[in-house]
Amino acid sequence: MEGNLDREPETATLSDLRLGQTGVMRSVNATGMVRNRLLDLGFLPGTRVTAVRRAPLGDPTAYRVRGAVLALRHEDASRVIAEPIPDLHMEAKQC
Amino acid sequence: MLSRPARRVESSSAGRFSTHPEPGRHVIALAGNPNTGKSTVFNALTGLRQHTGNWPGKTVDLAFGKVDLCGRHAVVVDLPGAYSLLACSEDESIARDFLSEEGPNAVVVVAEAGCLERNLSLVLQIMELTPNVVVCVNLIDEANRRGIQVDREALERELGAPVVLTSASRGAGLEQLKRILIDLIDGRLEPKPIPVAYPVDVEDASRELESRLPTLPPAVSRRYVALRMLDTDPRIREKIVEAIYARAKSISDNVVRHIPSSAPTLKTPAESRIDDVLTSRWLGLPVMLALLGGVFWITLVGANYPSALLAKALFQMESWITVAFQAMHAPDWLHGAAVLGAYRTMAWVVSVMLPPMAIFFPLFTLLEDLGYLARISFNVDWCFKKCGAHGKQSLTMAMGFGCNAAGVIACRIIDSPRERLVAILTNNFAPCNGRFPTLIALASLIAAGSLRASLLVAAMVLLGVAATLGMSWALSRTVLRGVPSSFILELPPYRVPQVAKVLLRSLYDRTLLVLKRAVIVAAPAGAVVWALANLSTPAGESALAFIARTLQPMATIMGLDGFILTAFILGLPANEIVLPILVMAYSSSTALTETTGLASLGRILAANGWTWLTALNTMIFSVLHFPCSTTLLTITSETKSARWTAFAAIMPTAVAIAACCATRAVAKLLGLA
Repeated sequence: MEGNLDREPETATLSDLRLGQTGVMRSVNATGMVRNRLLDLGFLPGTRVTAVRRAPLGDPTAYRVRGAVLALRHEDASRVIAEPIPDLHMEAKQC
Repeated sequence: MLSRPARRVESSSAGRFSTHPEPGRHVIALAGNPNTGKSTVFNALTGLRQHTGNWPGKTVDLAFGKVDLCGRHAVVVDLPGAYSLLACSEDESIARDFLSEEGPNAVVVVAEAGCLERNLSLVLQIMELTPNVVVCVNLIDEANRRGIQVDREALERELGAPVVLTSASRGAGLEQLKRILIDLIDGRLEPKPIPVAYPVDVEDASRELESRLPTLPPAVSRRYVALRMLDTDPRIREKIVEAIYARAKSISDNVVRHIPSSAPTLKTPAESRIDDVLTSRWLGLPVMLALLGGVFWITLVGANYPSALLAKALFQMESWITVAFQAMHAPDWLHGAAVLGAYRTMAWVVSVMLPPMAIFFPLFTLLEDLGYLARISFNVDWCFKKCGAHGKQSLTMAMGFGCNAAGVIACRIIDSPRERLVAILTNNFAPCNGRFPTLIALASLIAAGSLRASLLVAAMVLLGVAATLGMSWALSRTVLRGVPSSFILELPPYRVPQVAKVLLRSLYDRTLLVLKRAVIVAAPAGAVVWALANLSTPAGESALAFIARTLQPMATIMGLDGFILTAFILGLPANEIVLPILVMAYSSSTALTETTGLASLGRILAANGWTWLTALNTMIFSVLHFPCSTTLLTITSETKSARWTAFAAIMPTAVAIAACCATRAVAKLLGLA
């Protein structure tokens, strides 16, 4: 969160999602292998990503993406720009 | 893979795969995402026993097996799990290279029914490479239970390739898969895959490039080659991946139907309720420790009875063999080397080492097949991150509990070279199956009651984990400086393992493996050690006693004795022979009659001046010391460096010496010993 200079203040990332909250991906703020890996696993603009659970020690966090559950460390999750969908009482039901 | 580290194919040059098409032989490649039950399909097709696991990137090696296709000569190759052909990791490169360089006659792409969209992205990529694709939508039962239905015919139409729905664990759909493979091989079936349409600029560039490509072998798709040349540009790559996923999503939307759950009262699926406990903030770690402690306890208690029984039987047999030797008037040295050396060491390995291995290994495999190992990795990843290590190191460490050589090979799932090396160099701190029985035997001697003994074993495992983390931290700040690279861990759905099958297969595999090693490694080593212990040097001292005396000063500082260090050095070929060697070394001077079995171990050790501190330090040294020779050879082949191999032997030994010295110093300081 802090020290991320090239990020506009109101740009949220996956790491800002609360558990149970879904976000719509905008872009991946990374290059090289990290970017390719995220792309290959389906982290693409427009994809809905839900934060599902957090590890006991606070990191990593598991996200549901395209039917699979994938865990990302905070450092990596904060490179994925995603716009949180405002919480409705009905949890977005995905896969 | 845990049980079969040896089946491995080097991937250094072209044309390296031994399945290279012979005339008249058909090669069928099996590809797919990790965790799709690909190995189960492989087993079901070939009947060849291969271990199936439940974590990403698990099947790192290539496994081959003959498949019966009504008399056609066909071989199935199980490729490593891959998410994409635009390869990142070593596994994915292996899968991609095999498909593009070996030109298999058919490719079966195994896709998970419950996660079709992402799986289809790989299917679409493979269809760009070769038209001869059969899509095997597996785990269809599991998906149906979750209310997911797949329309097979619609999927065939969308892809332009044959599709089979299977549930490989109970054999459903496999006959149909074989029929399609026969039709494909005989040329009665010619799939016409519908290509992914890319944005106009990508398509134009691709066509342009295709026309300028030199002549390619007929099996190689020009479009595929052109696209792979284009996607080296990150912007084009993103467009390509987006188009593939867009197509995958549209197909998946058209063929997958979600049926509202038949049990509407369940707010959350059982799966996520299990994870709420197993990965929860407060319960996650305690439950994990309790589960692992439970596994040790079952091993310890369960091994007692068969161990005593085997010891009795084998000792009885020894006396018969001795009688036979006497009847034949065999010379003393022959009886010594063959019976007191080779046979006894073998009997030791079989009676004391085999039962714990045969119990621990299947239990561990069950946890793995259940999908729990990925959760352990999720739970403890924070620690690995803080130590500058890769998240998947916890998985390779877990593999190390089975066998360090297998753990070292498994480090291929780590795609960053620095972190892979960290994982390789510290893998040895995970006490392997060859060391568990030693730990268990010594723990039962110094801790009263099986509960305390299992806690002590668990403490030793935690010591190993602490050493792994500590040395990873130290390496990341010194010789292998760097920050952790990114990693993504898939948490696969929990799957009920095929309990009976796993237990029987791994019990059988393990027993066979240990017996084989007992004959090949332990018996010859036993004969050599007997010779060292009984043949005198000119000074009238045995070679073994001489080595032990030389090492004694060093050993004293470490709270051990010279014989213990000698046993560890002579035990280099295999960790499970350390204790038998030690017993032989002691008994050659104390002349005990019965030296087989756990019961006599305590008497022998006590007679040689062991205290609780000696036992504790032996356990510590066992956990931390240099890897066995098999592991060292594996490290050489994986790192291709003699220097790193030397480092992998010296570093842990230094840690082990330091730890033993510290324990002794503390014990002395507190007046405990």
